[in-house]
Amino acid sequence: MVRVKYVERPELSNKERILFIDFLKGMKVTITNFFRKTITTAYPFEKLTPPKRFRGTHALRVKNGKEPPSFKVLEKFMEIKDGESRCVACYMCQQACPVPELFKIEAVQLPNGKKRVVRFDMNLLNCMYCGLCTEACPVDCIIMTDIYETAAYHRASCVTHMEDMMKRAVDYDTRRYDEPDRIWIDDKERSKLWGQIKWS
Amino acid sequence: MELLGTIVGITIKSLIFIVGMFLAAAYLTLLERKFAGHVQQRPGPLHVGSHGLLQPIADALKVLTKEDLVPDNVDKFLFYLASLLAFVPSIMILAVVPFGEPFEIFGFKIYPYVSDVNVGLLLALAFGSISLYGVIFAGWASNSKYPMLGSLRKAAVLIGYEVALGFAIAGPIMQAGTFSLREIVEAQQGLWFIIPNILGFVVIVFSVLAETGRTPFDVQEAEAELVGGYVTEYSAMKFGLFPLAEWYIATFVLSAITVILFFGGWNPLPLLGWLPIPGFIWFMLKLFAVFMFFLWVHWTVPRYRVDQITELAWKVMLPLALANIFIVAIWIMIFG
Amino acid sequence: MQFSDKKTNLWIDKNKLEIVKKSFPDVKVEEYENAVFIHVKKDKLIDFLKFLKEAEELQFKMFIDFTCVDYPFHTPRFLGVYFLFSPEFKQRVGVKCWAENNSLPSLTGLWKGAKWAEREAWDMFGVKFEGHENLVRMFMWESYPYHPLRKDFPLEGIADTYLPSLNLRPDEIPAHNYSPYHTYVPSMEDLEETEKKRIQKKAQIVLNWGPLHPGTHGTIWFLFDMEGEVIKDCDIILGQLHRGVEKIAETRTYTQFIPYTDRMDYISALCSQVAFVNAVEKLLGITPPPRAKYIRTMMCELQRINSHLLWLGTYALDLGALTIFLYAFREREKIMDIIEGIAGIRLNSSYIRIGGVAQDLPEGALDVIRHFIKDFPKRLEEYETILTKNRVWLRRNVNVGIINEEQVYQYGLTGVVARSAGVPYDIRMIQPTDAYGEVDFDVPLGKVGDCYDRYLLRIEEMKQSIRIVAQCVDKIEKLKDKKFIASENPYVIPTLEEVYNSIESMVKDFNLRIYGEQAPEGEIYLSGENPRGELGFYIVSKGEGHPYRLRIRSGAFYNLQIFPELIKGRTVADAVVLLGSLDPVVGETDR
Repeated sequence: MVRVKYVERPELSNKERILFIDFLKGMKVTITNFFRKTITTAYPFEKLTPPKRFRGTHALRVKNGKEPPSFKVLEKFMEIKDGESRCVACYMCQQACPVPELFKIEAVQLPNGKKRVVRFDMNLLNCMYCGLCTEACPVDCIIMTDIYETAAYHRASCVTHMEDMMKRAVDYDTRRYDEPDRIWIDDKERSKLWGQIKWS
Repeated sequence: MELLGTIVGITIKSLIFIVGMFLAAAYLTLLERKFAGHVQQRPGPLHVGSHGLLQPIADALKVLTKEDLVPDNVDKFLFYLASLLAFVPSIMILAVVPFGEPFEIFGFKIYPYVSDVNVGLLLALAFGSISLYGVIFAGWASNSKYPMLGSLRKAAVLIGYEVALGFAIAGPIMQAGTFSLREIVEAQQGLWFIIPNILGFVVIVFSVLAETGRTPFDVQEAEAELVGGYVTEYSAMKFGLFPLAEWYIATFVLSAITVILFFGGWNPLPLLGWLPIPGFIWFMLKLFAVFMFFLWVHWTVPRYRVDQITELAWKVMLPLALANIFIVAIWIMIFG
Repeated sequence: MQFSDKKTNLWIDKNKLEIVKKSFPDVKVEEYENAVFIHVKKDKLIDFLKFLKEAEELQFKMFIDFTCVDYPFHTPRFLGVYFLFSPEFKQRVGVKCWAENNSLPSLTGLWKGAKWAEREAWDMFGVKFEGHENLVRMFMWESYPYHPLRKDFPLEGIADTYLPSLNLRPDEIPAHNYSPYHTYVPSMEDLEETEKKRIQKKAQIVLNWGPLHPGTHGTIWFLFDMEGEVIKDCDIILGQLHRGVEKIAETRTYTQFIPYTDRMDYISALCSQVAFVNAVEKLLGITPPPRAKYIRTMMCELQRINSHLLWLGTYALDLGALTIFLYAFREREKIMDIIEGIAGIRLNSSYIRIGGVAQDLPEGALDVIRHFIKDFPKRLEEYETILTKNRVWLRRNVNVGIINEEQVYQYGLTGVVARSAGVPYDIRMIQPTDAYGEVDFDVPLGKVGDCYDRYLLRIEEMKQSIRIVAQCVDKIEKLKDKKFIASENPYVIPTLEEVYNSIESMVKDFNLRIYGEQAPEGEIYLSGENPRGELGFYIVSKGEGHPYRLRIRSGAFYNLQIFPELIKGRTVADAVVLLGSLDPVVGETDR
């Protein structure tokens, strides 16, 4: 139920004016904060661990036996060996993306009738990091890792290719595949800001 | 021969004072940044030297080696003169402020002040007023709209608060009977002058905040309104001299004058006279306490609008200072 | 005062339509499921609108929006659409009028708020307005030759200037979608010409406040005509951050457009997404599950606290209280950590989807939010101790920029600005969507209408938002149904679990991504309560996967329009205070 109420406007009384009580109370708050511990993280010497759902740079997962059931349906049309990316060239990520021009996916038809992906480029300078491509991929191939330090000196080095993305996914999975879907890892740096949280 | 000795002696002492003041001002910047940082729950400078102790040296090197841009259509003579005029008078006040009683080392009698003039307080006030010209020249010479607005505002504020300051210091002068700063301290060996002069103390606190350009009166640094005020067109060391002079050196010497006038100078605290601490150390402790108080106010309180500041100066501070003179006169009549 | 009736359909009802038809018999009524429009001819337009505004039984006093739609195969080509609101009877009406000879009579005689809306229509469509006092372009510079929102103007613009990249080695192309040709960039002469057409110098100096300035919240360009320190006249040049979001929407599907909505008002991103998704869901006829509704309400209110804290920090910083800025950002860090753990990114989180939310809450999210709820009211008290009774704060804020009720109706002011003048206009109360109908909260109102009232109102709104979040957390824990998106609906994209395990879901996913949500033909106008005002979406759909015309009615744009009126006769220092308390965000004023 919604109620409407008028706010009251406080006035300064004469005693408060003469004795500067409004200034002194404010200054007391400031000096209390002086004696508290600092809450900052001294980046780059200390870093916060990003949460599991963090949307960093993209990566392509490889065929390693942990694929979802939908992969078996689509793999009949593709030629993919173990250790290569699972991409089935369905172009769903490009269809779902708000900026479709950043993808460049090319697949060729081999003489035995199956397809093979030869090129998968993403121009990350145009990317919005929205995550719609990861929600569109039917075989859990394209994912977003927790790497956010991707500054470079040339525009050409901001375009990422299939080999780099496969390596990144293998690295990310070895570090964080088995992590549960918690809101964040409770490490020392986060408890500087938050204090101790009561987990249930 | 004696004249030559005196001249050499005074020159060496002045050099020691000036160099010491520069180093002190540099480390006062570090003190302010650490204080501001911890009030805002962050550490302040941390990496240059352990806990930031070499940060002022890094800052000084940076300001000295930056590219100095002088726009084409400024009035060059006044442009260069303005930054000097804002800075030199603050250092000159140091010439009349005493830091302690004369003491003996190795048989030599050392006077910890450059000179002891018997109108010292008047000279200090006069030197402080010269910096007004620096402000106006900076705004005029920059030949642009924002500096002009900023300098006119600051000039209006400074004029109002100089008058209030002048009337407020009349109270301790009446009680001590002299203009010389050293004799004012000696007259406070019984009772500190703050007790009858409480109204004068309030006026002096506000006047010092206005003279040195700290909130609630820093119309100069009103970044949101005027970008930089009269320092907009300055860069590198010419720019560096303005806040160094206003915020650090001027606050330091004006706090010294406040301590001398109201808190007993280098006399020890009323009940702790038996501690073997020399007067010089007491003076420094009190000075830092007053300096930190000004910093504390600066980092908490919002700022007034220009017409409200001048209204406050002429309608509130000046009557309070006159009332203070009245009260002190009655006190002298009663207590002799 | 209590409002317990939850009207979900705000459009004009049959009795009032009868009254309208009695006085003007030759108007046509166009009724959709979610909107009611009245067609009128151009020569009767001003009389008709005057009748709607002043008749006793109708009283459509408040101006909400004006826009144009382009139908290139119809003569006349442009259709002007007006939206009005009646605060007495709480009803909305839309009025349509074809612009014969590409011109319409100007509405500035009846509602002053139409001035900027008409400038924008001239800029984007090329429709002239007879009787407008200074018809200049709103977002583009004066000598720009095209009208961008027309259907024959390409999305990429006319790329005719050669601008090679700076770190290019000879004949190397950095990426596959790179082109060395660019659209034309305005020069200094173009900008000077724009400035001269806006304001004439009649007093001492003309001061350029902006576009790059630490005090204006973003790149807004003010022109002050000043005498000493007193401002005699003022005008505003917008468009430095204009990105053409409305044009982009005409080529993207509804789900692809969601990341663009949170880049408009980047500080309260989740609220904008929720308003857009509510409008699309109403058009498609989807009801999200209850868990999704509570999660959306909770995230919206957390985002509202976030936005008001940023406002408080920058407002206090502009006025000189330097520590409050950092204290407010300390609390903002906590909220952004919460949003990062739930959605993935701190600022432009595209978390809301059509039919629900993208993912369920992770483990531990409710514990963290409860910890935040317990801690936050103490901090809010600290800020109030420093500021609320401070004499400097009172002198700077009291009686500065007083807005009265008549100005609220004339200019279409919404949000905190309208509530400070005493008008109880809050969309959460009038047309509750999601779970706002099931939580208890208070809506604060001001009595005087000055900047101090707006400050007190925003602090009070933060306290009420914490109340709503606490109620939502309790309700989410008790809900047994764990569904967070209505994926059985034919318009809703299925979740990843469903796509991995069933072929029908995979085919549905493919269809919806390639062809878009084929919305039925129709139009809708729905709005949500942004922290800055009313954010409304007017969607015209012709049965395709992408909208035919998407109009974004932004609250910050109309709130900023009252600034030139209020600043006359005051000094530059008050300009800072006034601009801060109107709280514009340039991403939303310029879109």
